[in-house]
Amino acid sequence: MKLILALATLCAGLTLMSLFVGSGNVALRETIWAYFGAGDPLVVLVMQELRLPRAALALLIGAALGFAGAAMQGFLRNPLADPGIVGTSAFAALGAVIALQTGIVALFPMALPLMALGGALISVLALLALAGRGARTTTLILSGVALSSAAAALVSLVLNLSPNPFAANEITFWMMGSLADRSFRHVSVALPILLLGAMLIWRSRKGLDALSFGEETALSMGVNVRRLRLQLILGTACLSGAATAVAGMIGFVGLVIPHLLRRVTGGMPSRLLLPAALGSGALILAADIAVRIILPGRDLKLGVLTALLGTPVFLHMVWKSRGRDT
Amino acid sequence: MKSLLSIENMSVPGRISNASLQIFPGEFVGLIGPNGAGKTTLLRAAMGMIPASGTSSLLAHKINVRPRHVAYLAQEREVVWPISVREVVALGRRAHPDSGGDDQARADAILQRMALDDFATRQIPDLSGGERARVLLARALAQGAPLLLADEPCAALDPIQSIRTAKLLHAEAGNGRAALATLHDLPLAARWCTRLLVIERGVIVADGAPDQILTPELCRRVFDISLTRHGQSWLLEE
Repeated sequence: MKLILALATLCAGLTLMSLFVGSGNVALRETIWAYFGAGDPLVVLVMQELRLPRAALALLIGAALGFAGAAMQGFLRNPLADPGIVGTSAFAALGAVIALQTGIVALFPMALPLMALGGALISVLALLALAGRGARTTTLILSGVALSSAAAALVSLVLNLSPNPFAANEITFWMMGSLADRSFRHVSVALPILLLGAMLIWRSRKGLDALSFGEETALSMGVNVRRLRLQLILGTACLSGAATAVAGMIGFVGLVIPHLLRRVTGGMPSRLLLPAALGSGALILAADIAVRIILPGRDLKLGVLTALLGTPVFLHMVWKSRGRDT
Repeated sequence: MKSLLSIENMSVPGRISNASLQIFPGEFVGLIGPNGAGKTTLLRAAMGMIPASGTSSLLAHKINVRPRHVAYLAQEREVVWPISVREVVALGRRAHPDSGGDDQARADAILQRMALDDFATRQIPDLSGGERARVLLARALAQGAPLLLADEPCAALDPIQSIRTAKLLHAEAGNGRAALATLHDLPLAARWCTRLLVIERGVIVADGAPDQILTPELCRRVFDISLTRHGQSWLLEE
């Protein structure tokens, strides 16, 4: 409980900080007034329409990735699992890439997250069709891996055939993941799906604990393993799909934060869910502040920074787990 | 007397054919047979973990209330997460959400009874294979179900722990519960089980008290060994 309170306080602090960091020299007092709708209309617009949704999305997306990552690690009994493993984020990216390539985005900006969500939905339907309703965990995961590869190949094909270098450039930049220039429309598109995903996973938390002892033991403890599998896969698909749809590809957070926090929460998967969500929310908030401070004029991408931060931690984890397999 | 488990004409293609059996309160039944005979498959089919034809009375209960009728010790003993022994055993009490708050006390009592209380705070991945097996059996017993299906409860245990585990299941049966356990240690099974079921190539070929069914002919034919009784003990030879 102490950990949850500490992480929630950290998130609150970083959210506030996120509201006050950005390009342009706006005085602190003016920024505060702008959030209440007073002062220069342009400053009010920037604060209310850009920085506020940006901070909200950082928290939401980070929390979604951490929550889904903790759930997937518990589900697969593997500390190296991450939310992308079900293939939904790759398909969401494919949807977004098609939206950028076809130019629909220029006519209707919200086409990008909506088409990304469409891609995510297709991947879930394909996953269910490929793996069947009663599929075992390995089948589901192999199907997820196959879908991710297919989506990556299709994204490459779109880039390959792109007649317009600007579109290709735009696609590449979008894929790097960012929260710049997002609005409350992005929040309203993602929020219901994120809540649905979080609810599906939250309802599975006791089953996750039982699953620590294997599927047979979980079934003998009264867990409907088939339903649990479906809930967790759909929940993760909602969270990772909606997160990718509004922010692009943000890697490593859903893998590293649950793994690090497990040392504090202990091994029971249900106890890791909330801390992992808050911890990942805090990390994305901090990283999104950092990209604005490190290279203010260069639009350093959030996904680039999280990958740069996450890779050494990931390698350290692999290095440490190496002895266990021998 | 009403049976705690009744299996009728259960078949799993290629592995079990037409198995029927009943387990009554007060019984510690050993399921014995050579490797690959179908012991684990029979337990899994009885629990509804694999598709099978025929009937198992356990499957009449809904999945969420089934743990109140039967506890199960799986052969899989790997637990990757650092969960303490005390927490693992307490998880067995989840089958009783309305038991009124004495769950930890009951779990602790099982730990004490199995002499596991010394390492209650240790984390399960840090334990040896044998210690882990005993903790997982403690979790199954903490469930407080009248019937236990245990897949090799004595595997990975040293001789003294094997004997203590067999005695514990025997004592549980004496308290009006019952256990059906797959066992490989024939002298141990013959000494402590109240009844033995012998399974060979998916068919139950003998069912009865150890004295009656462990004939020299059966032991030679099914296990290709000699098993002879000397007082309370049994001697196993090639």
